[in-house]
Amino acid sequence: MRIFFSWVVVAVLLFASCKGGSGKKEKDTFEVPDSVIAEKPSLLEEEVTEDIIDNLASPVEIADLLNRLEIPFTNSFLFPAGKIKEMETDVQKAYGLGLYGADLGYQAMYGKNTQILDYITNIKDLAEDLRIGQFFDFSTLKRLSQSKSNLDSLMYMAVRSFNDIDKYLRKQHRGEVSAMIITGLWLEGMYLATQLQKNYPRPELKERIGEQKIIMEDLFTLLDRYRDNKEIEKLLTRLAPLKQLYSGVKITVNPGEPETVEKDGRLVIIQHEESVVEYPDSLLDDIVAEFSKIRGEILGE
Amino acid sequence: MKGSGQRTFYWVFLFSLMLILPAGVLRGQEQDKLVSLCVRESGEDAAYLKDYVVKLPKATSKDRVPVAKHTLVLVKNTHYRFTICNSEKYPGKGIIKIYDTKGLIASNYDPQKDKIYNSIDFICKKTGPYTVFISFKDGEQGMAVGILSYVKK
Repeated sequence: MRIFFSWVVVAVLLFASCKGGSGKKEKDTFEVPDSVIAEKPSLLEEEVTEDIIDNLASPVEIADLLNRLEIPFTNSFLFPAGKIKEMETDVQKAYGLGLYGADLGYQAMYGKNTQILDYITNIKDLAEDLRIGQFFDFSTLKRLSQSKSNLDSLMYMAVRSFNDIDKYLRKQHRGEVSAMIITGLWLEGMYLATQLQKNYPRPELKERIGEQKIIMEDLFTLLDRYRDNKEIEKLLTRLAPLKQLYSGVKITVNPGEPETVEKDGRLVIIQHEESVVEYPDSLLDDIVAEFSKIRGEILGE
Repeated sequence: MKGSGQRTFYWVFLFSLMLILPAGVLRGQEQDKLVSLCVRESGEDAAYLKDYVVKLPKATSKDRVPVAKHTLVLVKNTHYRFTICNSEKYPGKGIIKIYDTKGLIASNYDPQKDKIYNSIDFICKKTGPYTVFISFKDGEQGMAVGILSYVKK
């Protein structure tokens, strides 16, 4: 009876944590105490470093920029699907999940579906190894990948799954896994951006690469929380030269007041305060080379 | 006697779990539905980036309105859209306020017209961290989903 009871409880708890076969999950619901006052939010300087920041390394906006700039898709820059075999530890697998996630986004954004299934399969395998496989509805992703016209839906599902994984891992106090996924997403997104800038230079892309100085500072703050993990400490050491290079990027802000207009019944706010990124082309070359070097080391080259 | 007492305890415990569990599952399904609905509300020209499910109690006083806070990075030259969808089960109407390090820069609530817009577009010109506050008008109890998307060109 006791054994039966234990199994029932375990089964019930597992069911509760997975919440349904569609891969759906714990949501980020807030029960905020009313001691927090809405009308007088404090300034953010300190809070930003305290909080976990969303959308930190989203490759979606970078892939969108590449697409908008009409930079051609380059197959050879993708992280090889076969490299999954070399990912052994949880941290390496989390990192790989980020890498393959970024490449999935890049392919989907360009409507390329010839190799996409390999990447979805890798994401599924890594997620299962990390005990977060319930967040990917593999059969639907596979079905969507068969047709180019469904890649928008595939992108939505994949981004939502990554968001849900991030929320889940934070709740489960597995923040180091989440941090490594974010790092993988960021590094691969930046590898693609820098290689494409090298081959198809655009001022907008140069600016986007330079403003990663802001993102990188937050990423270092995030990773630094898990410095106790040897692999994360090793990664931080490995990323230090990149941080050093970015210290040469100058970012200034030109002041301006936001403008609000109503367009087609929708409120549109145009920001006039503008960030300006300045750095020499020689530094850009060094940054491109450093991202390539890091990626090469990951590949064992 | 001891065995019978234990058995009763097990069944009461199990029964309690069975009562609690469906409520949690339903709540999750309701949230998922609201997220999916709100993604559609964002429009066909928008691509989903993040969702925020917010459930807040009724304010205990006018000056102490409950609020949910999220910090996120927005990127220059990106056209973002924030859409909010309210659960019909609660009276609260969600208000989004976006702050940068200097103060309020955007909201879906126009106090002069006393109008709440379902979504706002934000054309970002400065890469950096922003904070999004979600509360409910007049401190009503509410549940809402906020969707961050970018507008495709």
